[in-house]
Amino acid sequence: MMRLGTFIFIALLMQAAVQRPAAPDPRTGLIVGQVVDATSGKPIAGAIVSISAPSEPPAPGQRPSPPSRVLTGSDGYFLFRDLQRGSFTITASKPGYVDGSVGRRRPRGPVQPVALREAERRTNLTLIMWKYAAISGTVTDEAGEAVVRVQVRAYRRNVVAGSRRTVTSGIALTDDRGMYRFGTLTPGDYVVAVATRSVTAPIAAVRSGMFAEVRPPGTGSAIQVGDAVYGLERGTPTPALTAEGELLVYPATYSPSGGATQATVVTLTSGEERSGVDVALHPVRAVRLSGVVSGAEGPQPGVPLELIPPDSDDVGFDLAVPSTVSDNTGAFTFAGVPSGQYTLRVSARPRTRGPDGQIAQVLWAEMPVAVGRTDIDGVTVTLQAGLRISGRFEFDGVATRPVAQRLAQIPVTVEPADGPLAMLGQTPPPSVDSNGQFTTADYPPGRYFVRIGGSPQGWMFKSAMYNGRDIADAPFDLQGANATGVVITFTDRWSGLRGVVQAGQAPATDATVLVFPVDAGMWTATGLNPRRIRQARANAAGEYNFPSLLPGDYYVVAIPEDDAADWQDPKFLEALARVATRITIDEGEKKSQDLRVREVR
Amino acid sequence: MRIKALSIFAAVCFAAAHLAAQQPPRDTRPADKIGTASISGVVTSDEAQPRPLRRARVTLNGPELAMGRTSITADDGSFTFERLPAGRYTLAAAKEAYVRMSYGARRPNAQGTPVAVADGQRQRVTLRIPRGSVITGTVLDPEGQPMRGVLVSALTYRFVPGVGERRLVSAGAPSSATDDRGEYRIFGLPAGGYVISAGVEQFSVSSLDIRVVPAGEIQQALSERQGGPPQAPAQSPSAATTKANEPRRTVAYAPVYYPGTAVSAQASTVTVAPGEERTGIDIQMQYVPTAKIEGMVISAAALPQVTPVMLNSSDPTLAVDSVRVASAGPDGRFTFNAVPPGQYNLIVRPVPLGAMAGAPRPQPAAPGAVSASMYWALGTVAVQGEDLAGVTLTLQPGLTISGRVVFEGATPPAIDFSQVRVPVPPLRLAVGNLPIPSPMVRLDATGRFTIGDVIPGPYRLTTTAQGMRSPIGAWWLKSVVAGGRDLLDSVVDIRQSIDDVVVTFSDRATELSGTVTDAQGNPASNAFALVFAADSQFWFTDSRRIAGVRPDAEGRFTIRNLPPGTYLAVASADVDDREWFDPEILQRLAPLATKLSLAEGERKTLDVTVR
Repeated sequence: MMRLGTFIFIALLMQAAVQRPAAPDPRTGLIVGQVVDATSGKPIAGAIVSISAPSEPPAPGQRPSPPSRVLTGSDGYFLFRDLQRGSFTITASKPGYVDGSVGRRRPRGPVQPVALREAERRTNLTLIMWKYAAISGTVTDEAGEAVVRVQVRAYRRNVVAGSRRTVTSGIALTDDRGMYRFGTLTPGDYVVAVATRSVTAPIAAVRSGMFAEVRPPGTGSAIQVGDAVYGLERGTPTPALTAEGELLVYPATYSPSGGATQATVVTLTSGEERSGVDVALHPVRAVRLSGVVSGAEGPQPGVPLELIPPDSDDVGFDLAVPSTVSDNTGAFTFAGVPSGQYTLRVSARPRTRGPDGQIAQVLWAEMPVAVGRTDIDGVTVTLQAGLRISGRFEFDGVATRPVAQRLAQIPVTVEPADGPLAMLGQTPPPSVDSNGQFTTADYPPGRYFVRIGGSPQGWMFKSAMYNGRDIADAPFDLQGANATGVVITFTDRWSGLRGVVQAGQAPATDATVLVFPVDAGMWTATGLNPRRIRQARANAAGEYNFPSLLPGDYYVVAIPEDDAADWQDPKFLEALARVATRITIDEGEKKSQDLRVREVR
Repeated sequence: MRIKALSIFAAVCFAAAHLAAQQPPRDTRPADKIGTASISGVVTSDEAQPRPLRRARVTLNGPELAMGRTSITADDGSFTFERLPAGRYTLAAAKEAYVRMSYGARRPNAQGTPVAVADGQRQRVTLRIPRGSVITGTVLDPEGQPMRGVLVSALTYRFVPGVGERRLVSAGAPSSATDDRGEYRIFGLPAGGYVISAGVEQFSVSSLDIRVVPAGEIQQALSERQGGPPQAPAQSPSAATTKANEPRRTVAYAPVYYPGTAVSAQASTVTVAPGEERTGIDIQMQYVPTAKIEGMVISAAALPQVTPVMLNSSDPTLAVDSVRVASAGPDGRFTFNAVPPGQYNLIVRPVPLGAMAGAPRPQPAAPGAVSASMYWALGTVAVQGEDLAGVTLTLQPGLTISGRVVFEGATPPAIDFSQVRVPVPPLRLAVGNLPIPSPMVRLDATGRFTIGDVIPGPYRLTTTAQGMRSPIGAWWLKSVVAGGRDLLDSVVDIRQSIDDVVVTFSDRATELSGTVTDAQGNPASNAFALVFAADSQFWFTDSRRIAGVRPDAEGRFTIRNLPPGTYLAVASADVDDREWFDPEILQRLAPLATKLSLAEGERKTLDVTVR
């Protein structure tokens, strides 16, 4: 039931007067700027502009500047007084707009801190804000009838580390006219799809109420198909039932009416309203896929399974796919599976540790399955023990080694080199003991990177060596046996890169510096967090800095920040390589390299 | 203050008898039976020219089936259920944007008419479901701008048996949150009248400090040359100078009801016909000034470190109260910030004696009685936007109710009361629906009982599942008399300790049985048989003088242990379970009912017709 007694509480301080001491300290900095609309250039009134606390502590005798907020007037101007020396981040927000920030030249692009000298007055700042854009449309089925209350997703497309990726940016339900709307999209590229999920449960599990996700057919939220119960999921179109009692289901469908590869890409600019992004659904034959899950001790009950379509590398972490669970004889059934190629795999891993603190053994299975137009029975899914990765930390240098407690907190991350990203985040973190020995959880056989999510103070992550290769840069094959003896090395000889970007005779004010390896083989297939493909936003004085950059051979180039969208696309990197500067960073070297802004687009 | 349900008397009754027959647990699930009957048909829209509905979900349930079934209609609206064992089945049809209806029901959420099939029989039915209505509009913020993320709901007044009153409850179509244009759309509503409410979820915001900078100041800042000699800035053109501790005005978004009131009783009803789309139901959110409530809990003895104080709105139309909690420290002081205008209850839940060392022990009311060990406080406060200070809540001791149990009959039982275990269900204080630690119920060897720590207020005696009229073994609860009044027959306002309660069990009870028939004289098993006191003073929730019974497959029913008196009897297919406690419904049915009277221990037969 709705809570009518709840309310939102806002405290507004509307002070007409300025609070200042009568004789102000003359050594105060001041920032004045204007917030403008990205498309029209017109000032934006009623935006809340906030300034962060400064990056440096106050000088002795000076009051610290607190973070504060100002409302822009009809001319879009904002003002902050009494500022000490230091570096500030200034952001603006207003309903209907993507947050803006100083230095941000693209929606959600990198920002520039504002560096203020003692008593400096900066009066020329401009903050650009982009209006949210909107996509709307109608979902219909093969009879032209509106499809009501089904889930539609907007996926944002971008390029990360050389690979095209999509991320779920919005989820909406169609209304009684079959219409949906995404009203708060950041300008960019999108595809729209009707997402469908299905859950099948064994009849016995439904009868006993064990399987909470699928309710008994008498409630109208599930239907019996053979000896399994197929959930009629909320948000998924109701399937059709043939006279023979077979299901025709609606697969995940991208606008206008096909699979992911045929999707229409909708490019949205600031404030754009794109209507008519319709989705036409067509039912397809669906068949049964059944078999047995077995492990070392025989059939395994209660194992959750899912069928992953091949193009779901691209979609976000919340996959909408067929799923089921094995019954108490180890048998499983997927009902209502459209034809196609799938990866059948165990879907859930335990997240707990055993009583001795060791990570519990996990059983995996993953196998390709081709589903055609006839039922498939007798599939055997063999559970295998997962494999672990273990090794130790080494600290190469004279700085203080982290204490045992801190060692145990170093986040070792294992990134799959291929396969659905949905596996990330489902495994417990590795255990690290006080001697710096670490052991990860179980993983299925496959190719992986081993990386570090954050280094201890004063140390830089240098390499993860296994069998003579640095597996932080290139994946290794986890097969057949646990991987032992991985050496993760930290160094205190920091290497980095800095310099100044010039545009003509003056420093460039809106440049961004890109760094990527000379070896083009390292431009793609380096997982989500490549260490050697980096970007740094130059500040208003053209200064840029990569405080930690691994030794190696790189291309470095400065381009206008406006042009930097999706710069990790390999084709763009090729073009950049032609005008970039080649540098080599040695171990422990803090290289200095000045650059000139290049126009590449 | 609302009526509280006090089920502890029932616990005493069950315990005192301790004679209930023990029944072995039964496995009530029938095995899978294969049958030869079938039920098929079409689902159509409920219009003058009905259209077949495709992709509708039809459900079939019946006691003959271990598990119910679902089917999906084809493009011509047809469905079929095969291989059914002979029996009676209920069907229902649902489709998105339509209103789910049971076969034979006259309104949504009502029971339908079962369909009977014999072996080998093929039965055809048509299910008609109405298209849901739509209510849509725009929500604006107080400045007239479209407001995103506001939750808009369609509410309707419904009798809530648990509370015993009509309240505004969600109508069954999901709420709609406004989109970036401030628009909402509620669809799938049954035809009828609705109150439309708009509210914003509460979240805590750290105190904002947003300054509006006057234009003159900016101009002046721009004209100062960078690095030039500092100039004494001109004073701000605004006249008011403020001190650092100027009180801040705090505001909140109040829930607003269409067309624009914060008081639900003044809201307009939006009435929609079946399938109608009503546009333009626009609402503007309002700021309301919020106030601070400061008060103190007064107690004769030392308070514990933390005493929770609860604040909840006493808007009588809300189905669910929202409660806020503040902590009073050892000095008893508590504060509620940012309270919107309205009427509120303040509640201090019972605090045990152990936490209040040195509290004066009240005189025991009777031998064997337990002295009060819990202290509580209740108060009301009206908030109108101005801060309130000095609100006091004085802790009071709980009351004691004690008495004895009597058996009337040919052979009174020999009971060893010391062997009796007393299950005590939790008390529910209806104000704020707050659970309160169960009072202690004790029986001594002579059958005297004592209930302590009772908070004064209006009470309604109720029971757990079986009902006040059910027998315990061979004994029937006849009366609970205190101060010359039978406490079972009305709402009881307990204001002081009572020590002369007499709970009487009898081995005789009235019995009223009969058959429910429809207008044609056939037995009707889908209607409730209702028997209720002719005197409307007995019309309250869980009154033992109101009985609603579902007859068996042949339409037969039996009601036992109605207290002697005059009654009205009628049958109705139009009421939901426990809706017969709604005085409005009894009012409507009374003129259609048959009058009868019952004397003590009398058995009577009566047939009732569905009206």
